[in-house]
Amino acid sequence: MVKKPVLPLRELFRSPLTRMTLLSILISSIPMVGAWAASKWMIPWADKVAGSADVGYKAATQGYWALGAVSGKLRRRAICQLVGTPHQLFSHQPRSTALTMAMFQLTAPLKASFHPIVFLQGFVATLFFAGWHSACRSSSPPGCAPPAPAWLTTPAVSPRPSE
Amino acid sequence: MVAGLLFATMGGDYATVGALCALIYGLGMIAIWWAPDTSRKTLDD
Repeated sequence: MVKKPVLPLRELFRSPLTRMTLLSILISSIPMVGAWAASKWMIPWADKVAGSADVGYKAATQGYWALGAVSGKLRRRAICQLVGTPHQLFSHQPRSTALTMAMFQLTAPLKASFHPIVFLQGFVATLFFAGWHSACRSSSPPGCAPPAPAWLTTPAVSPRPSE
Repeated sequence: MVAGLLFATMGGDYATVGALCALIYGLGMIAIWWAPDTSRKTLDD
């Protein structure tokens, strides 16, 4: 068996791959920063507000977020079939933004709505890391990617009937 | 370092800093339009 030569990593930063590599780094870092930001500020915030009243509140907050994250991971295949592969990354951005904003602006630690929103934020924000490509492919017949949603493939203007 | 600076600039308000950090997803909404759709491609060796 002939072993293929391993290309050095620097090949990724040479033309014609440079643009794609940098774009990939940018796109993949955004959900990481977003999820990090939520968990980075959510926990000390919960501790600051609720720490003196309930010492376990910070841990419960982290637990709700983790539970949401795990639930999202487990439901990825069903979500993949609902959303479709091509634009799931785009459609997740406003959802994640809205839920993170809601968590920080519309509710607060010790309010009844805080932990449910923390759960939902964990569910949505970590769906970016759900391994969409493999999940969507494995829910389709071998070698066949799932069909794109109808609104993506149907032309906005119907073709003229042949004369 | 940036996180600490942001936190200090916002006067130690966790809610504001967290909401500001959520805006990073807006950048993703823009950047994703330049990404090619590879969902129907297989990985080449």
